[in-house]
Amino acid sequence: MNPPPAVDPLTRHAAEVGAALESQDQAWSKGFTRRRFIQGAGMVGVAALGTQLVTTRASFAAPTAAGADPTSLNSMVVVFLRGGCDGLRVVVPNSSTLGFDHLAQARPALLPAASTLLPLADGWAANASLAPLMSLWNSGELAFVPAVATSPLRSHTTAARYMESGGQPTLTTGYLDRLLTTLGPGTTFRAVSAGYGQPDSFQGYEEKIALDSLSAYSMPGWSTEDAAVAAESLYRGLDMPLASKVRDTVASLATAATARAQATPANGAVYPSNNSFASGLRDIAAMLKAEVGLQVATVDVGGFDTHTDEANDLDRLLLSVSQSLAAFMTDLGPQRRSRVTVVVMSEFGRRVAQNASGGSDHGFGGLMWLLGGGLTKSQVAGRWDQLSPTALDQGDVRGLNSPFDVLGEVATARLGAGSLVTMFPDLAPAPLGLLRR
Amino acid sequence: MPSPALPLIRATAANAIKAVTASSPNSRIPKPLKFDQNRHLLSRFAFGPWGSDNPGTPDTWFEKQVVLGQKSAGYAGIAGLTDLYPYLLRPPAQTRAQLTAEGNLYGGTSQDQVLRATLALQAWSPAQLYETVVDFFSNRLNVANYSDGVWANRASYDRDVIRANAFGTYRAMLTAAMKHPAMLMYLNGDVSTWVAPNENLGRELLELHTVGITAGYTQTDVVDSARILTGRGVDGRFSDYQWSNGAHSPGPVQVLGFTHANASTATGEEMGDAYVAYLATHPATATSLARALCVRFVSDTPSAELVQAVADTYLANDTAIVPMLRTILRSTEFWDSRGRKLRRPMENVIATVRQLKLTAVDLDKGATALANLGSGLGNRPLQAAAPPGYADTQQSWLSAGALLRLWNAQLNLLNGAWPDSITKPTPDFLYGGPAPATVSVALDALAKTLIGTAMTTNEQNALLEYLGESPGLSLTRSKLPSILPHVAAQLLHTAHHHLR
Repeated sequence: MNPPPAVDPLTRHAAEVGAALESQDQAWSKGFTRRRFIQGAGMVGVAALGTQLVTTRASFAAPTAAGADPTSLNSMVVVFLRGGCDGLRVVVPNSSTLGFDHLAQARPALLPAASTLLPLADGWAANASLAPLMSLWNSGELAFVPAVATSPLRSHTTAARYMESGGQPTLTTGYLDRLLTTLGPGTTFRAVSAGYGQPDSFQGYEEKIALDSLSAYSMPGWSTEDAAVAAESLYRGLDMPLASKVRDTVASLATAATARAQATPANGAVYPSNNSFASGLRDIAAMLKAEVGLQVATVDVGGFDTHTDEANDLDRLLLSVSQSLAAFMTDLGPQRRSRVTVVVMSEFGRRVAQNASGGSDHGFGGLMWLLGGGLTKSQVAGRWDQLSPTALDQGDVRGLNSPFDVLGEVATARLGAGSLVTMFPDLAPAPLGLLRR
Repeated sequence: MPSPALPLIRATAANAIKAVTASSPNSRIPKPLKFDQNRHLLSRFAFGPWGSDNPGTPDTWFEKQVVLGQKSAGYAGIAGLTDLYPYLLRPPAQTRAQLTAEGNLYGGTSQDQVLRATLALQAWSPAQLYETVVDFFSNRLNVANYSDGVWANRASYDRDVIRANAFGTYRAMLTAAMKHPAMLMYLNGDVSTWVAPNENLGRELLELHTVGITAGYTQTDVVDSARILTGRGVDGRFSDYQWSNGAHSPGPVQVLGFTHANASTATGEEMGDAYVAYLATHPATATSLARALCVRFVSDTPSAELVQAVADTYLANDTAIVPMLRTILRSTEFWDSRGRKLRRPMENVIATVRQLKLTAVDLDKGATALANLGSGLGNRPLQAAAPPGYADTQQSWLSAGALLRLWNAQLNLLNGAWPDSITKPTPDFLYGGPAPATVSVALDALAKTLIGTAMTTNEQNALLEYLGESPGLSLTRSKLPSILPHVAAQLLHTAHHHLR
């Protein structure tokens, strides 16, 4: 072997810096190039449909057209409980077989009063704050998965990132972004996050809409339609994510107007007031009722980091979450919600033992909830080990069920994802039988 | 690709600018933005340019700002602000007494005043560098305003922890934060005792405030970090910091490279200070803080080399904050980064006020109007609910809903929607003088005022289409004067204004 040619260190360094800058540029403009490629690749039919969808005021009629793939009519709504929800106080393992005796010893202050618990099945019982959801349990539209595994670090940001990256924290995309890629092109409103920004699960290449309020989602100014055209024209020819977002925003205005027409809750549904989670769900319901082609929606609720005074704080929060979800399901009505599956998750569960402040510290195994259409039945599903001092993971509920099996099953059974390879690259799918195809 | 200009850090900003402009054909600045040293400087180290005012040479401007910031430390950036908002200066116990006297003990009066003062200073204080640094560290050591239990002490946190140390050392700021009742209440340090240490504060100190999650600490480290901080509490009246020997967890502790026998609870507080100082001067803290500063001031993806240079500056200057900013200012990467940051929503509103040189008709009403403008944006200062504070990357804030709200806010400010609170820009201001003769000249004049540069042909055509008029039309026959705020708003809707 010849020695490598001598390179002037400054030149080599310049080349390295140049390469680093190039990768920065790519990171910054990520999404834009890729999207242009998809449009450029043709898909004439889809493109034509898309044009129609975003520029006419006619409601989105395509999904109900005869012959459409029925899974293309379905939607998934992911509710993320930020802060690490204490699943053990939401759905209590309430029998000796499930390990109630250890629970009673380790967290007496965090056990709901026995008389208030709502019996579910197989020894499980729900917190009384879930009462608004019990009619869904009775109609086969509510299920839970306990002992959901998460990141071992027990940190909010790391665990949330783990969950929302689909167990791939080194990837720059979220699992819902990769689901959208798997599903192929859709409408402008196919992916919506209710709130101020978008969650990590939405990071990536596919276009999404983040909106905190459907009622505020309109173009201001003199002659609003011309104003929207002008705003878009001012970005003509620009190659940056902001320009791409402006184009999508302007293209979505007409569809948003049709959704706004559906904003009044139906079927006597009453959403809690002054509650951003409830108003987010109300907006999502409006878009679903308006048939704008919504496939994936996300909405967050904060406040679950109950290090102190958990019994009061958590129950109050759970009640408002349950009331909001119940209103959402009522608003949609039995027929419309048969095409909607809601998944409720959090970044981790909390420690089995209570702490000295009437709360609980960060734990491991958490709880997922499923509501709505397509459930095989109401159940508490998945693996569970009887709680005991030796059956814990550093004092926490073990992670026996993969959250990605649950999410993956929704994707395949309900949304028609043919494969989970893109969404969850390392997952050997082991569905829990939660959902009907 | 641009040819990188080496070395990365120059002796002065002027030298860095020279190096970047010499390679301008290879500029990384996204079109339609162009190299503009004044606007770039004031979009990063200030909350946006004040109209078209010229800051002078960047090196001189920066050093003047350092002096001004020291002189205006606290709330001196706006004369009379502390008379208007007396809670800004009250110690927690006095705040508590005053709130009680007002019959509103658990109310938000004191916190409202902190929020309004913060917004007023961001918009109108001449000490802009100081306000950007305060904004950064308030977010870095976040204690959410309006969170439980901080009604009496959040103002003190703003004054005694963040503002008092913004131009000092991070070590001093962190040491103060870890003994402040607001931080202790926010992250449950107040209830963490030897009986069962609450891990919240001990964990976030490692993860968010210092070394970061990749530093390689374990759950055992987290528990010891929490144990070290036990004993730091808040008096029974939820107002002042109080050390308690009886609450401290004695016995050996080890976190990363910090070890201590911790034999006596009597020396626990002192040990904790040593622990905080150890973390503040840890190389991983330097990198983590340097990276966050580069993300704030340079780009979402700063180079590892720039981050390292800023981290080195931090360690070489005993954790002093201003020298890190100076390193950034003198880097070629900074001067080649125009337009590579998205303005966060609230920052966009403040930048609009500054671009239009709007002032408060009545200071309290003006500040309140800014707070109200921010209420739908999810980005009011000091109000991130979760410990990490607000993100500062494009990914987090590029949203259709936010765009429409911002466009609406821009139009409202141009329209003078709050005549009792905030001034309205005059046509003379927008045109930069008396009304021009033709539509074309008028549009160019507007662009100069609002985006600091001439329009491209495409931009001019878009506005002509909006007006439905030809460029040579006499302004007296044009509809432009009658819809002036709407046309001006279009210029603020552009990338020129939305990028930092």
